[in-house]
Amino acid sequence: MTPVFRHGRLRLYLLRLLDEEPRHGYEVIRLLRDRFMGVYAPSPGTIYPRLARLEEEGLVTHDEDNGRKVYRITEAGREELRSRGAELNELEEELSASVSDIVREVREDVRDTVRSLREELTRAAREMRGAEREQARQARDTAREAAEAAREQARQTRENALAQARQAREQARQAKEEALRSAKRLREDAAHLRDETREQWGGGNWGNWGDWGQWTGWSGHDLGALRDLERLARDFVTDLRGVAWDSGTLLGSEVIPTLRDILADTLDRIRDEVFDIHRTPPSDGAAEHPEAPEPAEPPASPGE
Amino acid sequence: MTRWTVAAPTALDFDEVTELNVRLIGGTVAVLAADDQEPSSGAAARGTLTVTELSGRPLQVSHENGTLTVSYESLTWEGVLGLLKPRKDSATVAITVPAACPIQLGVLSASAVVAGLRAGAAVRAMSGDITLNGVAGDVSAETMSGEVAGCDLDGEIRFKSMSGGLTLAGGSVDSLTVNTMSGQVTADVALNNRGGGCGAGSLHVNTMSGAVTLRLPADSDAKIRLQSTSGPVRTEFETLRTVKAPASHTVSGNVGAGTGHVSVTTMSGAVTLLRGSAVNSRGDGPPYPPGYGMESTTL
Repeated sequence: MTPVFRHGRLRLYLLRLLDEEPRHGYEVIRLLRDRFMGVYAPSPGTIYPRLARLEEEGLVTHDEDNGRKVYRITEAGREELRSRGAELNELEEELSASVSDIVREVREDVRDTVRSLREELTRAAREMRGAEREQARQARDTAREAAEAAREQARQTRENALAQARQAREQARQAKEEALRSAKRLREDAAHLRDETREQWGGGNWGNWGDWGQWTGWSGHDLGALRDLERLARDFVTDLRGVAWDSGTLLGSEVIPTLRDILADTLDRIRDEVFDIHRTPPSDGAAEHPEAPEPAEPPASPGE
Repeated sequence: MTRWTVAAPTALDFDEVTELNVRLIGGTVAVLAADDQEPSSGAAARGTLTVTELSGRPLQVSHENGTLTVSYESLTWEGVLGLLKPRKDSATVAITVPAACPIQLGVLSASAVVAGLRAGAAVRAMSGDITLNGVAGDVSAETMSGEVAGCDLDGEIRFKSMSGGLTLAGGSVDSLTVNTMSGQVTADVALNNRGGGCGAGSLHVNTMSGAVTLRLPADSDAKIRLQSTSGPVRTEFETLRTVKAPASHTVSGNVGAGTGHVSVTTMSGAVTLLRGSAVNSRGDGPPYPPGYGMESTTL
């Protein structure tokens, strides 16, 4: 703020205040301060020397009141005021203007503060909304990523399951094929064995079980026993097939001869021990029955 | 009783002013606090009146038993908001009174400025703006369309407006009550928690459509409830819970010890509660981190 009093103006204003009525020095100070709303607060160190000067010049005088000086304007002082009337009016206007300045200052100050606060809070609110949106977006993204990961996992799991199923199916298929192959081989082996047997049995007319009943040599056997025998043989084939199947080690070419030997041995034992028929063990198969040295004719040779 | 009829710019001094009433129509009225009287001086509280511009009817000034009144003929406090016929009377008035003097200002289109008073102020304006700076005590400001701006207020603060907005910057209040139809409410204040319990500070805002933006210090202690029927409600205080229902969006909970009360209710306005920096250092420690006080509320 510009200086309130230009040169000589404060002196004029002091005279004006004392022209209203006699005043204590501190009262003059307070009036000045009130008039300028606290903005201009002259110190006693400014005012008292000026009052003393005015007194020296004979423009004011003072009385003692309870030990305090009460200043009073003199006729010379009034004369001075009158002679500077125009200047005094100008001063009054300036002082009023300075009050307006103060008011304007206060108002603008508050408005500026309030405006900047509004802007600041609006910005903060916008930032908060932005941060919230960002958070929400991130949360959404995270959720989406998680969902995608879960989906991907599910997809992989499904694929794995499918692959496993495919593999299992393939294995099953292979096993089936292998089984079919081995069954075929078994059938072929069986057919081979049958043919062999037929040959051994002289071939010809042995095909029909039903005819067996006609044979007197077999009169001790009824058809029921034959059927039981047949069932036994069939069950054995089934069991054998099952064992081979269950073993998992598929029947290879090296298994078949072993099997064939065992079966031949078994047949020999059956022949010896069950049917008591002596026959030469087939070829060079391990002869576990040395008591069967010579080949024997089929037991029920019709020609006998 | 002393009376003046002021028809031209002038300045008046008054020996003792313990109460001030002003009614104006247009122009500006400013009431400023003179520096506190030195108690040792023993002098009575003084006041000044400066009229710098005047048009229309002359002002009526009276001074009786310490009550200074500046008005026009037949213009009453009650009449300020009811005077619908526009008047052209205008004056620019600056008044200083002791800081301890309670004041009452009523203006139509005039803007009102009040600064530095410690004993409260009641200000009514029709379309004029109200500016309050560093005023303490029971402060009330009512406007129809005028804006209210306040800085560093302290005490029991009440605002009421139709469409006029309110902005309150700084200060710490015992209570702040705001009622407005469509005015925007912006406030950055602290709550006084004097003595806790019943002395705790409170902040209540009601609007129809006006948006409400508040900022409270991070170390506030208050039970908070923010509600909007159709507007969004947001807060930076992480201890508050949000409940969304079809026709109400509520954010509520405690901040700090929850001794004070903060409630905002609006029909369609947006509500935003921001967290400012802590005001009380509470020792030499750093400002309390967000969420401070959860322990004490859960204990």
